[in-house]
Amino acid sequence: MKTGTRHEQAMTDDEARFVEIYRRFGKPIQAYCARRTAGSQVADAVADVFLVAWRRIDQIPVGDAALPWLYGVAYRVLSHQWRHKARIRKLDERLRGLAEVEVLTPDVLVVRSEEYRVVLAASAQLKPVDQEILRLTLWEELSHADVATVLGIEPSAVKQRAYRARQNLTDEYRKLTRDRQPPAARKGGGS
Amino acid sequence: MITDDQVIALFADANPVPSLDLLDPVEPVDPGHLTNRSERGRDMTELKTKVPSVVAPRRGRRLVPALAAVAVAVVAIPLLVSRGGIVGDGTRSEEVATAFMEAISEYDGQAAYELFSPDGVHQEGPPVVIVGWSDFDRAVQLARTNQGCDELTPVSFPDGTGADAVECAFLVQTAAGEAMGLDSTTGTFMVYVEDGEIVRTTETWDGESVGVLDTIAFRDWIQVNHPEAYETMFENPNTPPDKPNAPPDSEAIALFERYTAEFVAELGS
Repeated sequence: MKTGTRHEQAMTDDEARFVEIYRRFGKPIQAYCARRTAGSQVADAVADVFLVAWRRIDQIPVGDAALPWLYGVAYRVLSHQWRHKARIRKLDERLRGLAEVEVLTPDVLVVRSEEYRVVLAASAQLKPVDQEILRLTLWEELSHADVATVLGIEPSAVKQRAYRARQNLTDEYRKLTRDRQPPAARKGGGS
Repeated sequence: MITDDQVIALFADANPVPSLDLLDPVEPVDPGHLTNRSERGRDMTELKTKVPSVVAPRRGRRLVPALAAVAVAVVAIPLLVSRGGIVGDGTRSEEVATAFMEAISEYDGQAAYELFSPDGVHQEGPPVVIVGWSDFDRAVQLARTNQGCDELTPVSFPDGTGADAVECAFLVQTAAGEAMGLDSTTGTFMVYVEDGEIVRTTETWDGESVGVLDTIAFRDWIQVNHPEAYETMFENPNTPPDKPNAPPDSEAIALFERYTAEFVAELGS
């Protein structure tokens, strides 16, 4: 009976830890998912993230370090969900070019501002990893070290990519806004 | 004109959920509803192993070799007397493994195949499939960059035979993965050498991106842009994904080669 008691105690500890993790980080994970997927899919995504967390409770870092770990799970869960939906759409958009600036990501359901729409369209032109680095640093406000944890890459690589992503975002934004102006208004237009 | 900082600030402001207060309260979790963790569920392991069953014809580089490696590891017992990794003609087993890796990375499947013993095993099948898979690797511009081979403790197999175990690390990237901005991933070939001949190899890849995301994106792109080729490439009865030891046939390889180039060119344009 000694073994059984110890086992039951261990399960109780795991459950208590899981409840605490969920209480502390449920909302940030919910926000992470809501920023990246349609409203109807957020609950499923969050549930998937915490199902993984429960099954891997022994591997979750203690304290605040648990959040980047959970973001990493969410990143992969959403990648999994998007495979058959957004990937076809986004890749198709990218390959066909954005003659008409149109962001078909779920974000557009929330963000209606024209400027926001354009800057999101500009971000959609970046490499997926760079897009995610921008979101993690600017929306989740993570440090480069935490972004590295989420994406499973080196912090130095995050720093380089973040710098490049910002540059590219600016370039793409200017390109899109310039393309949307009438030819005569463009620099050197009419040639 | 809008400044760089203003563009970045604009993107930050475009956050669809700028505040956690906008979200519904998190419902408390009932521990009684937690499932048994020992049950197979949709965890990261499943995310990883599910993919090969629905994507391109691949060699089961993750699941099958992992199982094979585990099987080898379980039955392998360190020999009491080290063989020193020297075979009859003085060639080190490490050199045999290195030659194998060089052949693989140069898409010379025939040369890699000829390093095997007559009853050798590649993954879980006959090593001759390496020839076909090398053609496939060349077609999809799959590049392995060798990182070196290290000899480990020799092993013995259940049938009483033994072999030198050589671990060869490499970086792997695909043209599609690179065009998509994916980082290369690390991989390992375990090469078991006996008397100068390879008796077994297993390959594993460590990352989640290359080999998965690029394949998915490419497959989806084929569905949209070349639907007529999809069946031959991805649902070819001669190249079922669940039979990783069957390489794609020549028709499928030709299509992979042509459309990989087109996919990469379009991403780069």
